[in-house]
Amino acid sequence: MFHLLIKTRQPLFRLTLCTICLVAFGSLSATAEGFDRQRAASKIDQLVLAHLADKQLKPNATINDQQFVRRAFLTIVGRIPTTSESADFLNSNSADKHSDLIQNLLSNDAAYTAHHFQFWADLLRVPSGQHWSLVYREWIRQQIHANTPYDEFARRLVSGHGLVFDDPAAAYYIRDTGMPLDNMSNTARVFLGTRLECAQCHDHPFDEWTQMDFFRMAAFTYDFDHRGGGVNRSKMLVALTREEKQAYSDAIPIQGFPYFRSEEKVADFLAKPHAAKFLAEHNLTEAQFRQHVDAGMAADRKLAEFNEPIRGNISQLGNSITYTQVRHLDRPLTLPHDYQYDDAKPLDVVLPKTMFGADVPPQADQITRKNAYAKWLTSPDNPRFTTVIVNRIWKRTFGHGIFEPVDDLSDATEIEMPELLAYLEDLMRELDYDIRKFQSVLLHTDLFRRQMEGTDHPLGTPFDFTGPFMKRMSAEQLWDSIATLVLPEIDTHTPNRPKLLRRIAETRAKHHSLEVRPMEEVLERMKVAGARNREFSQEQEKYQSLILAAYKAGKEQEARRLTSELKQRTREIDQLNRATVFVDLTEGDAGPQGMMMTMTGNQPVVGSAATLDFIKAARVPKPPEELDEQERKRWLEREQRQLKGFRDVAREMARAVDLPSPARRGHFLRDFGQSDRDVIENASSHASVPQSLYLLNSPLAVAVHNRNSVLGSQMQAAASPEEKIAVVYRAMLTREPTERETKRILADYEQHGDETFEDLVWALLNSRQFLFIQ
Amino acid sequence: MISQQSHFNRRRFVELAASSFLGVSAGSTLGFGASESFAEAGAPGPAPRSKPAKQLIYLFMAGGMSHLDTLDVKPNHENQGSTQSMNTSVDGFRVSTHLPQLARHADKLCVVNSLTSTAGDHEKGNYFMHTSYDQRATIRHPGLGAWAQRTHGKLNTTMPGSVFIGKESRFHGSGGFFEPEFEPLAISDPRFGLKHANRNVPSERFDRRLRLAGDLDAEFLQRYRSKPIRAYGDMYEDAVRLMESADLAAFNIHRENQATKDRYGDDPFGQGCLLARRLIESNVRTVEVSYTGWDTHADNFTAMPVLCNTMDRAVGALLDDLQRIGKLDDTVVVLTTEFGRTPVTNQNRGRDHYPKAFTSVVAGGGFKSGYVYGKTSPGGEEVVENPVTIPDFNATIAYALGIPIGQELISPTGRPFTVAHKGEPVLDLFA
Repeated sequence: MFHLLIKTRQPLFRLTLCTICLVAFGSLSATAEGFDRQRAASKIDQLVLAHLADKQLKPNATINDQQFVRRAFLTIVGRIPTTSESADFLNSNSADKHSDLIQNLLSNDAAYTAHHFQFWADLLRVPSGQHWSLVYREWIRQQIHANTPYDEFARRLVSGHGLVFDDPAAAYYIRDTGMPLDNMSNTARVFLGTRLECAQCHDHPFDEWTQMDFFRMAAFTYDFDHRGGGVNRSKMLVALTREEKQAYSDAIPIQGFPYFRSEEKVADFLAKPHAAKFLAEHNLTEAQFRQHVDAGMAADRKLAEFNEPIRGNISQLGNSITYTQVRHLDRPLTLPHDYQYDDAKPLDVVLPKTMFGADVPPQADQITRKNAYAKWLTSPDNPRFTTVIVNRIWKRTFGHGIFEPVDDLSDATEIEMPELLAYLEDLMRELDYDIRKFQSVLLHTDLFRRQMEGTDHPLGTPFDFTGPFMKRMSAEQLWDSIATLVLPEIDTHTPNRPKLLRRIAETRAKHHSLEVRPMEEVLERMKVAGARNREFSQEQEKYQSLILAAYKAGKEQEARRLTSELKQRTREIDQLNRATVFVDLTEGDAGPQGMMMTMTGNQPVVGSAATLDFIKAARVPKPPEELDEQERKRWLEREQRQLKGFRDVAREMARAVDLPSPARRGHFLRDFGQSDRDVIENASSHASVPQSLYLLNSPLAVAVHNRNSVLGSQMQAAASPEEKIAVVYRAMLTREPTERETKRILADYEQHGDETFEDLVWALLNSRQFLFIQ
Repeated sequence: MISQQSHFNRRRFVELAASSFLGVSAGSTLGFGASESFAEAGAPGPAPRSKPAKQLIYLFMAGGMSHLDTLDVKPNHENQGSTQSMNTSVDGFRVSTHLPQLARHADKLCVVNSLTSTAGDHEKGNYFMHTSYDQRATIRHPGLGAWAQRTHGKLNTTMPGSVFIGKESRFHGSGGFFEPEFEPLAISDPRFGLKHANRNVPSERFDRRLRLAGDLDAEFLQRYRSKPIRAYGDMYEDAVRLMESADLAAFNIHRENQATKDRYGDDPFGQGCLLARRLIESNVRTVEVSYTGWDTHADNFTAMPVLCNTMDRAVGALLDDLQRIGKLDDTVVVLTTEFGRTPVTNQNRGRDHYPKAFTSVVAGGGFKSGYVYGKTSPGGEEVVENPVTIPDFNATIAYALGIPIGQELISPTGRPFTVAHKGEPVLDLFA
C-alpha cells in the first residue's frame, strides 16, 4: 500500500539558530557508523589540488561567510536565505558553524525536498496534471523526504508495476506510453549515462553498441502496456455482448442455431459442407434459414442499439482512470522488418540480454524478468550505475561534471581526474547510496568554499575546478528566492497540496467504484446512466433541428444561445452519470477523505497557516498626517495599486515544487527556462527577451518592495535611509552594501526621496549579481 | 502602417550602452548559432526555388477538422449528414455552406484533399503535423518557423523570429532542439499582446532605474565576464530596444479600428489572425495561430457552424488584407489540422478521429491558386488520387519557403534531422 512506502526518518526542523546549535543529527553526523566525513572531504581536496598542480593552476581564493551562506542555501535548499537565517549564521561564533549550517540545511526535509525534487522531475520528465503523474510526483517527494537510498529508489522505479495507487513507481512506465523502446533508451541514459537512441535504428556510429544490443536490452521490459487497465471494463462489455447474443437466440425457435453478426458470414456458412446437414436436420430451406438469421440479427441489433449508450458510458467513464496501471502482455519483441545485419533475420524474436556487466538469464515470467533487470541496472557492480550518479551530484554541487555530457559515457569519454572519480564511486558505495550524506561530503570540501570560476568555458573542454563553475540560478531557484523575499515560512507554505491530494484520492475512488466493486453492480449503474443518455438523446435531436433552423434563418445569436444551452445540458447529464457510477466519491472509507488519510502518512497536508494569515493581513495603512487632501488621495491610490500588485503575486506564490510543472505558458518559471518535462534535463538558463520584460515591467518587483511583503515590512521598520539600503542588500544579495553603493543610492535618494528604495529593489532584481550564484 | 525599421533612439542607445548594465556587445545575440552543425553538401531533393516566399502564417485547427464538413464535401452521399455545400469562385469546386468567405476566396486557394496519416491521437497527430517526425520521448523536433529562421535569419532583428498565438500550454513545432533563440515567442491572448512590454513607471523613472541598476552591477561585471553573463546584457538591450521600438505596436491589435476587428471576428482566433497580420507586416518570419475546439465527437453538426464561421471569417479577412498590403505573394498561408474526422457519424451525432484521409489548404507564397489537388473516395473514406503524406506536405511548405529539404542538422544527441524527414515536396502545387 501507498503509505507503507513512506519512511520517516526525522521530524521536520525549522531552520533557526537554535536548531543549528542544539540538535544533533544522528544519521548525518560526521562519525556515525565509523564514517569520517571530514577525512573524505580532505581526500577529495587533495585529489583536486594534485590535479591543479599538474596543470600548474592555482585554486581560487576562499569566499567570505556571506557568500558561503548564500551559496549553501541555494545549493542545498534551492533558495536564498532570509535575513534572519543569514544573520544567525553570520553572528554565530561557533568554530563548526559552516559544518552545522550544511548539516542543518541537509536535514531540513521540507526545504531540501522542494529543491531536490526538481532534480528528479527534470531527469524523469515528471509533468503534473495527469492522474498517474500526480501520484508519481507525490511519491517522488516522499522518497526524497525519507532519503531513500539512490539505488533502492532507482530499483523501485525500474521495477515499477501494477496500479499506481499501490505502487506509484509504476508511473515510470506509464510515462512512456506506447514508446517502450524509448523508455529503455531513457533508462540507459538516466541511470547508466549511456546513449542508445541511435542503436534503435542501426548500429551506433560512434560507439560500440549494435542494434542487436539495443533490442536485447529492450526485450527486458518491452511488453508493458497501460491501456484500459480495467478488468471490470472488459467483463462488462462481454456481458453486454452476451445479452445481445441471447436476444438473437431468443428470436429463433431452434436450439443450437449458429450465431451470425453479418450477412457475409451467412453466405460463408451456407457454402460449407456441414450447412446442408444442419438444414436437413432442422428441416429448413435456405430461405427459411435466412429468415431465422434475419430475425435473430434484428433482435441482436435492436438490443445493441439499446445498449449503445451503456457502452458509451463504460468507455467514457472508464477513461477517467486510464493510465493508472501497468500490465504485461504476452508479446515477444521482434527485430524490425528492415533489420540489416547478419547475426539475425528481420522479425526474429529477440531474447533479453544485458549490454555489459553481469549476465541476467532470460526469465519467462515478465515481472521476475523486470525485477532481475532492475537489480542488474542498479547493482553496485554495474560499471556505470555509480559513475553516473556521483558525477551528476558533483555537477549539482560544483556546477560542472568531472566528465561531460553527464549522460553520454562512451569509449571516447575523456576523464580528466580518473582517481577522483574512482574515489567518489567508492565513497558512494561506502555510504550505501545515501545521497544527502554524499552531498554532505562534497559540501564540506574546500572546493565548495572557493570563488566561482566565472570566465568563459568552451563546451567540450575539460573544466579544472580551480573553483566551482559559475551559473545562473535555475528558474526554480530564482522563483523560490523571490518568494523568500515576499512571503514568510515559504518552505512549509503549500497552498496547493490539499487540492492535489484530493485529486489523487478522487481518481482512486473512481478506480474503486469501477474496478473494485463487483462487475454486476457496476454494470447495473452503467445501465441506469445509459438509460439517462437514451432519454437525453431525443432532447439532443430537438436541439439540433432548432439550432440548424436558427442558422438557416440567419439568427446566429439565437443559434449560439441554443448551442451553449445544449452544451450545458450535456454537462448536466454527464454530472448525473458520474454521480450514479462513481459511488465511492461520496461513500465511506473508500471516499476521498478516507483515501487521503491513507496517502499522506506522517506528512502535514496543509502547510504553514502563518503564511496564509500573512497574505490576508496585507492592507493599505493610514496615510501620513502631514499630507493635504490632494496628496492624501494620490497616496492612497498608489498604495491601493501596490497592494493589488502584492496580492495578485502573493496569492499565486509558493515554492515551485508546490506549483504545476511545467508551469503554464507565460508564467515566470516557464519564461526563465523551467523544463517542459518532455525531454530529459531540458531546463535552460539562457537569456531571453520575455525574461527581461518580466523583470523590468511585471508587478513582481512591486510585490517584493510593497510594504506588506517580508522585505517591504523590513524596509518600513528601518529608521534611516542608510539602514533601509542595508536591509535591501542583506535580503536580496546576502551582504552589506559597499560605501560606493550606498553613496550612489543616496545620491538618487536626495533628489527623489523614498521612491528610491523601490528603485533599488527593482534594480537589484534586474541585476546579474542577483541572477548568478557567486 | 508600421515601419519596418526600428525607431530606436540612437542617442539614448549610446547612453544606455555606455552603462555596463547593457553589457559589452551592442550586437544582437540572435542569429545563427551552431551553423557548423549543418551537414555540408550532397543534400538530396529538388533545387531550391530562386525566389522563395519569405514569411509563413500557419493556422492550426486543433482537435481535428472534419474534411467532409469543410473543404471536401460529399453532396448527396449519406456520409455528408446535414452539412450543405455551395459553389465557389472556382468552377466545379464546392465547399461547405459554413465557409462563404473561403468560397469567395477559392480562386486564391490551393486545396489539398488527399492528406493521409496514421497518427490518430491528438498529441501524436499534432506533433507529426508540426514536425514530420513521430513523437519520441528522447528528443523534440523543431517546427517550420524555427527552420525558416535557421535558414534565413530574421527579417526584422528587433522582433522575434517566430510567434505562436494560442492558449495551449504546450505546443509543438517549437524551437525543438535548436538553440533557445529559435523558440517562438508565445502569446496566449491576442487581445493583451506581448506581456510586460510596457513600463509600469514613468519613462524618466524607468531610465533612472536602468542607470542605477547599471551602476550597482558594475563591480560584479568587472569581475565576471563569461558568455552567459554577457548574454544577459544583450538580452536587456534587446528588450529595451523592443520596448522603445515602433514595432512594439505590432503586438497591439487595438490600434486597428472596430470595423477591422469585426471583419476578423470578435473571438480569440479572429483577433489572433488580426495580430498575425500585424506581425507579418512588421516582418516577423513565422506566425502560427491555433484554434482549438474541432474535436467534434458529439453533436458534430451543431458545432460545425460556429467553428467554421469563426475560422472562415478570420481567414477571409486575413487573405483580403494580405492581398491589399501586397504580402500575399511572399507569404505562405497554411490552414491545417492534425487529422480529419470519420466520414460515418457515431452514436452521439459526432465524428471521431480520422487520419486516413483529410484536407488542408495552402495559399499565397507561389502556390497555384484556385487549384484542388488529390481526391478521396465518394464517401470521403480514403484517398483515391495523389496521396500526400504529412512529411510531403511539410516538405512542400519548406520548399515554398526556400528551406533546403535535404539539409541535415545534427541534434545534440548526435543524430541527423531534416526539415520534413523523408518528405518530398509536391511540385505540382506551385504556379
